[in-house]
Amino acid sequence: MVSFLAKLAQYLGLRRLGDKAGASRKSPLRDANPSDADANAQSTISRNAKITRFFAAYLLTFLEEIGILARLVGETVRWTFRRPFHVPQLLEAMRFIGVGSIFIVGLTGLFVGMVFSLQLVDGFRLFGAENMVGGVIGIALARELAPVFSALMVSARAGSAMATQLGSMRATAQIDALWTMAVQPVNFLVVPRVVAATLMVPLLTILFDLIGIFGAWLVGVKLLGLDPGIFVYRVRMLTDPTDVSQGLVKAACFGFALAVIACRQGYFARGGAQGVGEATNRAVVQSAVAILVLDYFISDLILKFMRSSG
Amino acid sequence: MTNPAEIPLLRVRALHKHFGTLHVLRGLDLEVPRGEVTVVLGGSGTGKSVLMRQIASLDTPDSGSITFDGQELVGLGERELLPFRRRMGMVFQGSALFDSLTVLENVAFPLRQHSDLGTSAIRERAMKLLVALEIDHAARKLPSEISGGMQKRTAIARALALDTELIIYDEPTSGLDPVVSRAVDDLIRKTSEDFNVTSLVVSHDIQSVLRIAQRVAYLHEGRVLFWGPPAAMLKSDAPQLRRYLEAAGV
Repeated sequence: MVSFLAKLAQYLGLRRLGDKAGASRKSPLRDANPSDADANAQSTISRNAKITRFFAAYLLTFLEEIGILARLVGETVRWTFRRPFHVPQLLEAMRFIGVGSIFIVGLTGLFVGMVFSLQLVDGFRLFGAENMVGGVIGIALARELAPVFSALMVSARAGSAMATQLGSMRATAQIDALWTMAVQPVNFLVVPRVVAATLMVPLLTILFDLIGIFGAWLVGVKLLGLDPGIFVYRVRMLTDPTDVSQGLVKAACFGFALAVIACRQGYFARGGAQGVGEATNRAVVQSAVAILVLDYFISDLILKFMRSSG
Repeated sequence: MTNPAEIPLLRVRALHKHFGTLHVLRGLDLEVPRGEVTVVLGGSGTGKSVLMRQIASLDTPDSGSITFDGQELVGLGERELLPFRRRMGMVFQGSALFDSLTVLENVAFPLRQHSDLGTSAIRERAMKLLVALEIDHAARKLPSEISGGMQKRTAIARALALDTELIIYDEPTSGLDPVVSRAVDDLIRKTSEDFNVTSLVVSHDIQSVLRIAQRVAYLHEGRVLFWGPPAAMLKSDAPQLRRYLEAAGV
């Protein structure tokens, strides 16, 4: 597919050159009577070719990116289960990604729970259903809000840092230095970060769940006067362990994805300081998009699985 | 029968490397004798750094052969390259020290990765290297807290940490003032003699070359135009080399 598209782009490029060559060739008929219609037709063909080339180039870049990511994922998975295991690097990455993100994830969880409670109490009062707020918030947090927001926060804080660290290492030849010291850079740099993110984002999601519920309780019960017993009862009644576990599965997938994307951008960064900056930017944007896109597909898969298993 | 000591430690044969349509290395041949300091000299864009990357197996040549201690490196997989990598050290142009590790930790890094020594033994060995390279006073400093010359010393100490037989220096004096450049040159010679390692230095600094080289390979357009002792280089009548020497004020 890639080679086909490369050939297509090359063909279109050659065609364009060919067009120029063709235009310079002397055609007796054209020389005798150059018409506007001919010129317009030529310009339309040239414009279409340009547009096609533009999209083909985009598609090629996209496919190339997928290919690089797939190779990095393959290498990462392979090295995860092969010696040497860099345990100190893993622990350090877990500390940085997990412990370092506790405050920001907790703060986000608190305010998400609070604002969600504020809006739901206001909306549900219209139907006299404000007693359901605790349960709805519990489900929403466990299934969607906690994994997505936790992953987005980790991506913004730790993902960007990972891309910058690896990008700087690439720019200052530290990754080459690892090779020359017989240390496999994917094993040493990428695997600990990916494993740590895959393990820590679910733990941060649990924290987000708990603090989010607390925030919702604070606003719902203390500020807006909901019955505390009913609030807690609804949370416990409606929020199933499967809701929490599906949130954790998602969180692990998001952690893996954001770390792979951040590492890919940093590890292959090019062009010095500017290149590192661009790589960091791409890492954050791509991670956020990937988290939201993955969220839909994983949710769909989980719901289908749950329905089929009764 | 040939004496193994007479076989060059490193031998490059008919090496070719393209980058797109750019033909950088054009059938390059080079020999690096054991225990000597060989300098690859040449102007900008002649393929010096590209050659270093091929020798250090950081890049793969399009064709040709690189043998280290009589064993072919081209075509080897990562796993097969590991034992050779342990016998080669590289000092990068910007030193490439790990900026989150102290000087001592940088030197100890290869030992931590590849030796069975305990923590204190690793520390002791790393410290010995720092003492030998006269940088033990900066052991606890981060690379950003020391000068360029001290960073070079640290990088050399790190390159020597394993059982290194060949050290590759990529533009070791680039960006350093004349006094520090001279000190680094002296260090390269001293390291070569004290630790009995072979040195391959890439440089365009002719004064530095004349100070340290036992052999010079002058690169021009992706090939070795001259190979021999520095004194012979100065007498060479190859027009490209003469132009280079005259431009350098020699």
